Amino acid sequence: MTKEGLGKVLEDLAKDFDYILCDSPAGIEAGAQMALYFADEAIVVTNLEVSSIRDSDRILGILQSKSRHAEQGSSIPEHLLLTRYNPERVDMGEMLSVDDVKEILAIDLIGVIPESKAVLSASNAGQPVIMDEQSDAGQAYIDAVERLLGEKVDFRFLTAKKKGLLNRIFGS
Amino acid sequence: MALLDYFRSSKKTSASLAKERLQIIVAHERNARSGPDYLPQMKRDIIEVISKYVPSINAEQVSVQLEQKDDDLAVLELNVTLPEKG
Repeated sequence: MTKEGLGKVLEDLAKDFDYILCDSPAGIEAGAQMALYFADEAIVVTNLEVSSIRDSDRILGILQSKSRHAEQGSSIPEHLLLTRYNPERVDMGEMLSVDDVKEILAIDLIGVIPESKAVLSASNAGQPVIMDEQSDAGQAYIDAVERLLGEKVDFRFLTAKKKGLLNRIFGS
Repeated sequence: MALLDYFRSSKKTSASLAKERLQIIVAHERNARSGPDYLPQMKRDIIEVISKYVPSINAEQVSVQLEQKDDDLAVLELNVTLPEKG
């Protein structure tokens, strides 16, 4: 797959589709650079680990200097999607917070997906978790899509759930 | 209990440690990225030239830093630590 080849494929697809989501391999190698080259908009997915945030910063650097738009002197909108967020651990000082990551990466936040058991269940079933509309993760993804489409949606799942007494005894 | 209190009241949480590390890592990498593209190759060429005259030189003894002082002034700093004589 060459850059020109990929460009031609995207050009053809653009005739029939309003949005083309180009998934990228994790990291910063040739595959990722190829995937980001033709982007008109970027969603950078990162979890709260140091290595993930560091790689996201690198990818942002590459987007800003080596994308097709960058070569032509224009810039593209960049959005941050935070995954595996655990407000309980943030409150305990064990996990970086949304504000910490926003401060370090300095890009607009498009979504925060809570750590959720629904993700593994959906994966086991071969279903994207967004189809599980009862789940917190599914709803968080739906919120993120709404924001991408221009809707103003408040951020949910950012605060630790208050546990009632029964939940404390029986809940997980 | 006193031991637990010590850990609880300690200002350094693991998240704040992660944040400090990240700020250093990211600043260092952004600085390396912002240099002109020729910098790494130029550094290798400089080491090659020096090693013609000082065969035992290695990369750790040579440092090349580019600092942007103002809009129109950038300073290239080259530091070479020569090995001891004899």
